[in-house]
Amino acid sequence: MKPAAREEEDEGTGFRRTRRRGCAFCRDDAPTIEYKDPQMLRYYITERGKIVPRRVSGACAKHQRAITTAIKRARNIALLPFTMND
Amino acid sequence: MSTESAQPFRHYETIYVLAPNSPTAASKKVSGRVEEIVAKEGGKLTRVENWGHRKLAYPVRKFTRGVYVYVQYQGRGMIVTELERNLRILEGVLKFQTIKLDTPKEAEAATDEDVAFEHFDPVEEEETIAAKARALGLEPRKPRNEDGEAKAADGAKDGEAEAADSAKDGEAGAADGAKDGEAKAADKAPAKTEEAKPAADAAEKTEDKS
Repeated sequence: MKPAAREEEDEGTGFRRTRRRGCAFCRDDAPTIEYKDPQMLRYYITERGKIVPRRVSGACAKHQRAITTAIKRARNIALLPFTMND
Repeated sequence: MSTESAQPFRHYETIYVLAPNSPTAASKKVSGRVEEIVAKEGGKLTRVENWGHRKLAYPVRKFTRGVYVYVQYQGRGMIVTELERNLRILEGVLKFQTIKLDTPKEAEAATDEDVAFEHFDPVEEEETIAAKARALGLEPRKPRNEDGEAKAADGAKDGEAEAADSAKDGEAGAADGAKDGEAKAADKAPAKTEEAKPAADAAEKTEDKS
């Protein structure tokens, strides 16, 4: 359930090789995106509380939208923070 | 209030957050009102979950904790309007949010257990003051020089570890490693305080042996 795309340093060449894994929510055993599950959603916010972008989260457009909505709902009911400043 | 309008029957869920110190009576009042409104508007409670005391992600009206109650029901849109109006009025309600469920589950008969409200004892927030003090940086901190000593000690340990590593390299046959280790240890030594020096000396001795 971690963000899918991980950047790996390719030593020597100086390039960053990215291994793109498919959307974590398009798999058959995908977890449901629920605003009531802040623990799961915490994978998709940065330590500052921002929503992780698609290029990092690796989610497809549809599921990124679902994640965004879920995070915003969770924020509204104080399950997730709007900002984190420490 | 319930008009036989064309409003379709829908499924909704509402979460409301009560103040942690709200007395059981207040909690009962809110839950009673919820039941009442849903019944009055011709709806049906399908599920009630009591999440209990949870930490809030950010302070709400100076509270850092809240009592979460999750209610799922079906009915017409008027229920939501009326319910939210009441939640706004009722005391002790910190937050509430209603979501329209787009995939209504199969209308399963809700048992009494499913729709039972729980009431939690009020909790006075003792930790709030401490948390606030920490947030504002009013917490008594360790004196500076203590920190400095701690850092110096860490540095000494690092030096030892590096020296030991390079000593092993030397044993393995590569004299270069040992020299590197010496260089590193020497580099670090000037930055260290008095305490660190004996450690560095000891490290050098080990290298000599190898």
